[in-house]
Amino acid sequence: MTAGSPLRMPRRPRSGPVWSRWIRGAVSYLLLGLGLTLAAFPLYWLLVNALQDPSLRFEYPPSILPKRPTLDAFAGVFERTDIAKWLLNTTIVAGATTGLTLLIGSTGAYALSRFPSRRITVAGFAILITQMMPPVILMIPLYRILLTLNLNDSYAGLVVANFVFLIPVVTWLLKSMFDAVPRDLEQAALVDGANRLQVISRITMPLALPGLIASGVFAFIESWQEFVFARALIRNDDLWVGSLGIASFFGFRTTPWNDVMVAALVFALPPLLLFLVFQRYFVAGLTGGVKG
Amino acid sequence: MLAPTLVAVGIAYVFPIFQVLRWSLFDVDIGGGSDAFRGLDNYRAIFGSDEFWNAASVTLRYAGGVLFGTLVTGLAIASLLNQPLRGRGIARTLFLIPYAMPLVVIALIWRWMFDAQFGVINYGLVGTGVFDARVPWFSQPSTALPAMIAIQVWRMAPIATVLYLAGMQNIPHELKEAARIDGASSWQVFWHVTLPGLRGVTASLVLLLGVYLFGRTFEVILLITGGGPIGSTENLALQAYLRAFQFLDFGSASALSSIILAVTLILALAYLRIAPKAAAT
Repeated sequence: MTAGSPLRMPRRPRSGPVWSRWIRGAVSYLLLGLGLTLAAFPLYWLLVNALQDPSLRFEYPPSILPKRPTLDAFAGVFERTDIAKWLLNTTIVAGATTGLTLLIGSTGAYALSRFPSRRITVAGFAILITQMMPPVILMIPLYRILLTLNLNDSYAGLVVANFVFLIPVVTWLLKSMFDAVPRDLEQAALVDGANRLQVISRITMPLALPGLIASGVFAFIESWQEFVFARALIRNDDLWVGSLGIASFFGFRTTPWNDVMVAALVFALPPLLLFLVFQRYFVAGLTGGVKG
Repeated sequence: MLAPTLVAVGIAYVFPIFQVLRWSLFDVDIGGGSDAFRGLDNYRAIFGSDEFWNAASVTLRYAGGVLFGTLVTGLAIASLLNQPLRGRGIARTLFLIPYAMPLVVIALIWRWMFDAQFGVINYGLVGTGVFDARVPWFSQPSTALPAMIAIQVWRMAPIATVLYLAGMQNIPHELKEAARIDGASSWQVFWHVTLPGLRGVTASLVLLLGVYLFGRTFEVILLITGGGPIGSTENLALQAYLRAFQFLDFGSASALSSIILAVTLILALAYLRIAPKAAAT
């Protein structure tokens, strides 16, 4: 639309008479609502079950709204299950993994971005290949290495495993971020006499921050929910991460069901919240990568 | 310099591949004893086993079903979100929930929703008259895999939605305007202008999701059915895991993993030939 044009053409409704547009709008809202319900229902159901009186668990038909809501599980879950310990462990592992992955990933990504060579296409393809591998390929040799280093069944071992698992994708994401930061800015600063380190910290990093955040959130979410490596590496009860804890509830044994649901809810909350808060960066990063 | 860190990391992947390739030729003794050389026996055993071909079939159906469902759903939702509806910002955020939930929680809650006796899904289906009786989803082979596919589509649709939405917003308005002025209906605009413009996104999605679905995803299946009634949900990735950690036959697991890797590689390369737009990512 040209601003300041003297003659503004009235906008014709583009697709037929008004009632037809109204119907289409209504249908769109309806479909959107349906889609939203489907997307969010499992989370809602988790909540409903968490609030439910445990005696009602095996009631059929199940009620969509909580019948005799009780907050008992929210209070009691921390006593009756080990969820607190699991949360702590998961936070430690996920946090350390994210830090390590960002640190090493960004150095590698920066190198790939700023010092182009044939390595890039090779690296890109190599990363795709790493994503093709069934986790088993990675796990067994890794397990043996960690065993000899006596790192299995420890925080460090799991962090290393997660790190290895995540580093290709994170490096790739970060490289796209760095690519988006114009080299000219850096060149100008370098010409003005700044050394490379100053350039990186003062210019590149602030501009690449959204990308760093997005990659960090991604790494955190992935390592938070990681299950297969954890199951293979961790034997010690005290070191259980949340995914192992929740998995132990399968089979619906003796734990009160609403406790199970609250534990699951609590475990799901951090990544959900993180994601919702930072989703702007995440989406931008994802789409920026595709556009290339 | 900075690159050496990358090299060190590369070793973490290159080394295991060779290790696994080597193991696939042996009868690996994890107890620390010596591995007995078996040559290609592991491979022969796999190709001759019913489990392998069953798993291959499951994998194809699973990947195909999830891809189709995800692409269609993602496209549909993105189309909805592309319109200037009120509250679409919140909607867009809410649609991302499935991706942010931990796998174990997803498995837990969906297992409960699909429960044969008390699950809310059966309640809805029977209550609205779609089915006469409650469906024992995970107890019979005919319904176990479709249920798994549904869960995975639910989980992956957000990614497709985000990418399609971005792709749609990249399509120049003038093209759609021109089509409308020429008298095209909304459906025709969609089919002849929007869809072709999204080809690149579709190609990328098929490649990335396809690779992921083929060789990597099995946690939810492991937790809910462990391979399903009579192996009806056992895909190749899960089978590799089971061979390694349930049957403790690392040689066989390595062989299967190598096969998966090789097939995925071939498929990906073939695909890149046909759809070079995917290579743009």
